[in-house]
Amino acid sequence: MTGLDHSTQASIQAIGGNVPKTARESGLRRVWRWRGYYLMLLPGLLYFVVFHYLPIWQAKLAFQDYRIIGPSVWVGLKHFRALFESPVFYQVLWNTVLISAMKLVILFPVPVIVAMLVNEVQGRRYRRFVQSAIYLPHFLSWIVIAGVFIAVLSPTDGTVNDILGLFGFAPVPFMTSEGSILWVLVFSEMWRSAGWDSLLFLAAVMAIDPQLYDAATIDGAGRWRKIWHVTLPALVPTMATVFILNLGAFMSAGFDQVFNFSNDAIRDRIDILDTYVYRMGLVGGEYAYATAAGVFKAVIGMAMILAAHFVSKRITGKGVW
Amino acid sequence: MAASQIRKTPLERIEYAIICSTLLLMVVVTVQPILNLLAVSLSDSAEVPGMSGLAVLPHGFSLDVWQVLLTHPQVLSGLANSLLITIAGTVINVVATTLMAWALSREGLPGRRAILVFILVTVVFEPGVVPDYLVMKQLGLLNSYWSVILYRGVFAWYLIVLIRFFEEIPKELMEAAEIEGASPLQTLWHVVVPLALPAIATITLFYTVLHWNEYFRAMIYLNDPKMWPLQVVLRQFVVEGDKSLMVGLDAMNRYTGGSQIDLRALKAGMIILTLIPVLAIYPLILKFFTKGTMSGAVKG
Amino acid sequence: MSKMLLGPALALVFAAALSMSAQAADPVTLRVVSKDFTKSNPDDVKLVAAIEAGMAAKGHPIKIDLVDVPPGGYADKLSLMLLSGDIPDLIYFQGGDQKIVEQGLLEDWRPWLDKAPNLKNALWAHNKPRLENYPYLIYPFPVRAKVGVMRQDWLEKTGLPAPQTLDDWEAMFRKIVDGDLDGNGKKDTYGITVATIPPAGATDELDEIFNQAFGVSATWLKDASGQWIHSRVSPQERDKVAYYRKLFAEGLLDPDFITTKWDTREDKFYSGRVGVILGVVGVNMDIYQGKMRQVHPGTTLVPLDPPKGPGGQGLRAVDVSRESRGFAMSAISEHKEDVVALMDFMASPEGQQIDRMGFEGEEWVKDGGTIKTTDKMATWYPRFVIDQPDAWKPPVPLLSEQAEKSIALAQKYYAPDDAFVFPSEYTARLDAAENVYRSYVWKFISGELPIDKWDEYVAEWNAKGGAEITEYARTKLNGTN
Repeated sequence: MTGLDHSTQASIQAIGGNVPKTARESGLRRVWRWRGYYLMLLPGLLYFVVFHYLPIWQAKLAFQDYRIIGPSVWVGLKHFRALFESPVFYQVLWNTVLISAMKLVILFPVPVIVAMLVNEVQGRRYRRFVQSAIYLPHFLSWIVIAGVFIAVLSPTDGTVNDILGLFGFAPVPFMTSEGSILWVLVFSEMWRSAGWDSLLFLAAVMAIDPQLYDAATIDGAGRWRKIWHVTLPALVPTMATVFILNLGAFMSAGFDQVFNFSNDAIRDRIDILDTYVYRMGLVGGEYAYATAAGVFKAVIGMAMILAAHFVSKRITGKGVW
Repeated sequence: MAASQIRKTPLERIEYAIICSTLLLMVVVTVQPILNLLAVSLSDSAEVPGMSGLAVLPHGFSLDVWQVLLTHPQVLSGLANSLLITIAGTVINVVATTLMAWALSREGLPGRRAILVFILVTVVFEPGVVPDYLVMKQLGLLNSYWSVILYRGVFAWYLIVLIRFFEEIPKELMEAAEIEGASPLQTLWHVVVPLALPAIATITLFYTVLHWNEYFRAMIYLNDPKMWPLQVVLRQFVVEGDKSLMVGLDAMNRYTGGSQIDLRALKAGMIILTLIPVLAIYPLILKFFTKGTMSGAVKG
Repeated sequence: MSKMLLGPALALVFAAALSMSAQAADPVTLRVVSKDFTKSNPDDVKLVAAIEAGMAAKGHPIKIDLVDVPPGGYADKLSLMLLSGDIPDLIYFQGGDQKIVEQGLLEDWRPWLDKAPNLKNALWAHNKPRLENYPYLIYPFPVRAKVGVMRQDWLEKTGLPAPQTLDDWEAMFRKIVDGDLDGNGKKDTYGITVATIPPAGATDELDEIFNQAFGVSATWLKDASGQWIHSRVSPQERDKVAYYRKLFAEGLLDPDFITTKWDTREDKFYSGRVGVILGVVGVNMDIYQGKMRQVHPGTTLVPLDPPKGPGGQGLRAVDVSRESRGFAMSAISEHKEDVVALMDFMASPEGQQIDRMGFEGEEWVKDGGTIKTTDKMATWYPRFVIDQPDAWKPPVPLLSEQAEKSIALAQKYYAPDDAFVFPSEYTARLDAAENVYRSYVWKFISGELPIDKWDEYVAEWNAKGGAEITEYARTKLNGTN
């Protein structure tokens, strides 16, 4: 792995991981050769089968009228139809897509930038100090965070509006205006997670060979060129992986956050699939509804990952797997 | 970063100052609410109502909240349970994840793609609480620590990220080890792990936090209050999921024996209490964040 | 020889008779699941022992096996437990019962009431129609109405008598806003604020006292032509919302009410940022009182009568379509008679005595000839039911004077509602229409839309499911369903 070639190699390997063609062996012999690795896989695979695929099998109750006593009745798509036929389903779907897309696009670069900034700090102690603080909001529950934001953004006595007032601006009702609430959601998510999410990228940055930076300095590269040619390429594989994984969760736009930030003024705008299903479930038929919604989310998520797979195959020649 | 700090132009100095101040701003903005919670938890209960969210100093001073939290027998047992679950769980997690990631990062592995897809499906498909509960019941794991420890045995998200990290390791190193006759396990232990230490440390931290913060599943799978981890115990003080008015105070009165502690102060204290172990572990993890672990590894 | 056999023979017969009667008296074990009633709480364990002893004394011994469910997340955990097939004999529900009823797993209480005279007698006025409409949950308990509460010293400072009419209330609010009653030199106090408590909307608490004043007397009203319409789209509702708008525009209603949750509402109340809040009658008054006294020593809180307006006076109509929480009996229980006996005992004087007053020497003591409650009484709560006052009265008042007064207010202004339970196919439409209502109400109150756009709102409400809901309601209420 030589210095500046890292970028192209990395991008190719980012998605797929190269698979050199080995000579054709008989299947059984290959399996026997790799037996050590299969053994390593075993505990994990067992876990996935038991704790993921068994419940997925149980999720067939999305297609049934579940009976506690006695056999469940197969009803096919009845619950899905109930979900789709609701007067507000399409608004809810749109909200989910919009919020997820905004978060994905806007918030994606932030942890990377934070990691790069922290990496630039030369003093060890200051760097440790910053690292030890910025991840903290991740541990606050959304109930607490919503309380904080509602108070700070209040149009009557919130700090933000007080500051705006100093500059002569009229108070902005951040929490009740349909235009601003989406930005509040995005911003509060950033506030909560940027520091925590940057940890992963920091780990990636740590793995960079310092000799690469030395070589770049000798070549006369300044701070920003170093970042562009050394730091960033090293982060690309991780960035790509994280992005694609987040695509899989596209239809879950953040239940806890939306639930706690909701109020009558803007509920229509931020009601997402999960909060909607939760409300429906309060009255009756919750588990079937919720499981049907889960199946729906999974189908969309898988579709998005498939799309990413084919797109990356076209662009870089390698897919997700 | 290389030791080329010798010459710094004025522009570079300004850049550096901006970077450091931006980070400082981040620190202030992220830490202030926590200081506020600490201050509220240390305030006199009669003076808490009306305390601003910006205050970082207590109004009045009182250790009542902390006394209640730290001496309540259920809080202490909750702490012990949390430690048990977190340590056991994290160890299992990290071992299983590392083994799997290592195996799956080897390109020649037959069936690798199929297995990756198999795992990817579990990332997108979360059947929900009801199917999970039914399976747990069928396995007979309800009301056992194993339910909470194992239900996140390997977190697919972390697994896939770790696989990518492992793939970055130069192939020559592993081939060298194999030529010398190392088994896959030995290669893993002697070659891969030291190089990927920051990544593994990060995953360890993630898993620790995952277990430590777990509330909902623990509450659902564990019936016996003696087995509850800290988060579940603390939520019983303040029933936040319950939307009915005043239940919080009712519950709190029962748990604190009727002492007149302000609910908000108690909630604040709870949050700080659950933060403390994480604050303690984090610097340890930082030790593994050593730079340039791959330098000099590739000879020639 | 027969004499020698007689002794042992008699002994044998005696032993047989003894064992048979012992078997006959072997107490049945009932599995009971309830909120805040667990094996790990020593008080609960003591209570169970006392109940078992009390029932044995009455000749119907049973054993109670409590099923532990964490009180936080009770509804979720209970739901899962039942779904997985674990169904105790007696179940306390706080939501989630309809799914179980749909599966035919809950027993109809009504036929059993003849065997449970105490339980039958314990029912309050609102319990009876609820039981008729939805006989699976039974819950003798005072109605959870809310009334306005404020500090007595503040009321006195306004110089006004206790408000009776809408105008009185407005005048009082104005005095609160202008008078700097908290003495902090800043005009930062509002007349009233309300909390949004899901699943209800933001103005729900205001409706508790203002509905009747504007003639919103029930969920379904008859319009000018005698047709049933939903109150949400009635002219009475419009007048009420216009009034809310007035309160908001004049700074009497806290402008942040829309984002206020129950904890910030109380924070504002105790710290003097608001004069009046809505509180549930009964023991909650005492809880507020206790906290207010801690922050401002020596204060008393008073409940206020609801205002009188052009439509009348009273508290919001009480939903009698079903109990929202209560006790259910498993339809597949093998010990139904025992469950009924238990509930009957808890409603009897002996049961009420234990359940509501606790234990002698702990929650209460005998001082000379009278009974006095101790400090521990403040943390005691009934695990079962509260009889209506004529069935059983505690020997000493368990609540403060103001709390008792609030309960009396709720009884005085009690009015039953005409809401009924919709079949589950209507859930989505009910939700959609209600969301239209809530978002438009905010627009009207905040001034974003003038109130004369009301018809635009009504059209939207109908389009989003309101029309079908109304159609169904008309057939049901006109009796052709």
